[in-house]
Order: sequence, then C-alpha cells, then structure tokens
Amino acid sequence: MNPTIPISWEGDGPAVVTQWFFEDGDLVVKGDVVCELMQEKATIEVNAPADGRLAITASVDAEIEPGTSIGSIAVERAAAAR
Amino acid sequence: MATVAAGKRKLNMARAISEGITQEMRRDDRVFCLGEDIRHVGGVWGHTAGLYEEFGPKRVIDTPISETGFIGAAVGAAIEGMRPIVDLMFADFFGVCMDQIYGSAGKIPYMSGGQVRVPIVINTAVGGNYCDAAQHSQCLYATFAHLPGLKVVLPSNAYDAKGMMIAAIRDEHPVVFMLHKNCLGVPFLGLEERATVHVPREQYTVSLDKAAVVREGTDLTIVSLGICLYHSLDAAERLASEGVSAEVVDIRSIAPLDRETIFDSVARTGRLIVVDDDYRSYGIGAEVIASVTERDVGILKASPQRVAFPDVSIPYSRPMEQFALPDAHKVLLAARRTLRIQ
Repeated sequence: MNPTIPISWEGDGPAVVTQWFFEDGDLVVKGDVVCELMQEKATIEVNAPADGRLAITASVDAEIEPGTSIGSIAVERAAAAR
Repeated sequence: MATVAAGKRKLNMARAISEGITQEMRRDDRVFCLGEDIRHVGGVWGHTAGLYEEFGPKRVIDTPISETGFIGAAVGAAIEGMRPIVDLMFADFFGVCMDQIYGSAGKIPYMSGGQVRVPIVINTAVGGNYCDAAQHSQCLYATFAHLPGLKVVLPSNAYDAKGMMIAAIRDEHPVVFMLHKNCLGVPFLGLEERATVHVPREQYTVSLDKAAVVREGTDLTIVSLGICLYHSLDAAERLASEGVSAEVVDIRSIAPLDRETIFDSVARTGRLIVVDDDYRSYGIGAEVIASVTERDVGILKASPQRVAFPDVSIPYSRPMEQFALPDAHKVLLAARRTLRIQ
C-alpha cells in the first residue's frame, strides 16, 4: 500500500480556496502548483509534496482554518503522460 | 526517479507567462528581464515569479520608478544583441516613456533600413473592473496599435499566453505584450477562471499574427479579446438558448490585425459586433468594422455594432465603473439590435 501525504494549510488565520489546477484523481509531479489560496489580497500557492495521485477535499470557495487538510497525494510512480 | 507527468495540468496566465520566460532564459542567455518589482515580488501580477531565484541579479534586474530610463536601456541592449523583456507594469504609465517605445524601438529598424533590429518584449497590464480608478484601469489597445513598428498582442488564456510569450521573445521586432488583469489569475483583480487552462510543460509557440475562432456559429460574428472575449462567449451562450448561433473570434493579435480570419467569419454570418474595453471612438471596433466594409460591404446583412468603454475616464466608484464597462448583457443588446429582435 502506497503512503498518502496530506496537503494542509499551515498559514496564519483563515484562507479561501480560489482555484485547483488539477482535477481530482490527476497524477501530479512533486513541486507542481496544485492549488491557490487567497488570504485578504495575498495569493498563496500550494505545491504538491510528492509525485502521485491528487485527492481534493476542499472545494473552490471553501474557507479553511490553519491546520485543515485541503487534499492529499497518494504516492504513485507512473509512466509519463502528457 | 520515475517520470510522472499529469495529463491535465492547468496554469493561470501569470504562471504560464513566467514558465515561458523561464524556459526561454534557460535556452538563450541573451534573454533578461528588467522592471519595477520583478525581482522580490515576482512582478505585481506574479508573471515573473521564480525568475530571480533561478537566474539571479544579472538577468533579473529590479529598477527604480524610471520608465524612460529602463525602457531606454532595454532598447539599447536589444540593439546591441540582447533579448530584453521589460516590464511597464500598467499600460497607463506609457506616457512617460513613449518616446523610447514608438520613437526608438518602433522607428529604428525602419530608419536603419532594417540593419538594426530591436527584439524587445514590453510587458504591460491592462483593464479595470477592480476599482483602481482612471489612471490604473485603461486598456489603450488602439493607442499602441495605431503606431507602425510595434506588434501588439493580448492573449486571453494561459495556453496562448505561454506560446505567444515564447514567440514574442524570439521575434526580431518590438512586441508590446499586454496582460489583461482580469485574466491573469489574481483573485482580487477579478478572476476569470476560464483563462486558467491546460498548459503543456514543454516549449511551444503560438503565432503573433493570427486570430482564433473560439466558438463557431452561423448567424452573427462577435469579434473580441481579453476579458471581453468571455463576455462575448457568455452572450453567445445566451443567444444559443434563444435560437441564435453566434460565432466568437478572439483577436489575440491587435497589431497586426488578422483581417482574413475576421472577414471570412463575417462573410459566412453576415453580421458583426466588436466588443472591447478600450475607449469607443477611434478604437478596435472602428478598425475591425472598417476592415470588413472597405473590402466588401455587400457581405453585411445589418449594420455592424460596437460595444466598448464610453469616451470618458474610468470611474473609481464600482457601480459607475460597472455601468460603463462592457459585459455580456451589453453584447446581448447589441446582438438583438443587429438581428432586429426587440
């Protein structure tokens, strides 16, 4: 069983999910910007912590508190796909 | 490590532009960037994010507020064989440095008989809709496009933005690369989510002189660009529910204008509406309509229509700005006029 790595919001105070750049279930590469959050006027990019399959739990416009999980990566190594 | 690549990676326009610039800077060490706030902030729009970290202070140069000086420096560097990408931040600020842009960059290739080239990219943001008032909300498409010697482009989505940025950097001529603030992916500027699309990781180019038919139709052609393209698509969707088939054309390249694609579309539909958020008089609408009618007025079944910003400065007040800006409803009203539907 491959490990699953959570993606959580660790900033100061609440933020809002503004965009996901992948679909739920897409393969992502470590470092890809998977999601964008907004805190007041600042935009915060969230990078994939590992290669693997993305699961989205916080949808667009969801308000999230610090420490909340917004998604996860099921670690997976697959053939390159464009 | 095994290669894992997602099939559907999306980028917003700002990220797509910074990726295109990054890949060109890796490929060609003559490419460098200069402008205000591009280093630590990554550009106020985020379109130079990550460049300083990778390329350092010799190739990513923060400047003081001195547009005449740094655009002049970029023109000089281009003449000497470099490939500068220079940041004007807001199109509204061109007034202080226009001589460098149209007097030098635009004219030197012509006046030297083509012996001196000025391969410079000038990035500048356009558009309102976020209450930034009269001096930070203008589009000025026509002002730049009126002047010979400059290419002027405005991509409307991230795929085109990356490909057109790479094409602009490789182009031998000065390119004014406009970024519409509502399409960049910066939420407080008014986020148009449809501008964030799949962007291939590899390098590719998108032509700097071609419009694109983004929705096919038979009854009416709506020609538009930037954020107004999305208003036009919304209006086309509404028209479809009323039984009217609207074709929508994305101008993409303001200068040179792809008159062929526009004419071909109007020749098929017989009706033309032009939608843009620059001032109405002497603008893109006038140029597009004139280009069609002077070639063959006989293809038109109805008078063409313009939807644009009225000939007044852009209000700070949100209700007043919204009243004046083009939107889907105004496009719809223009469509009904040209279709003679009450």
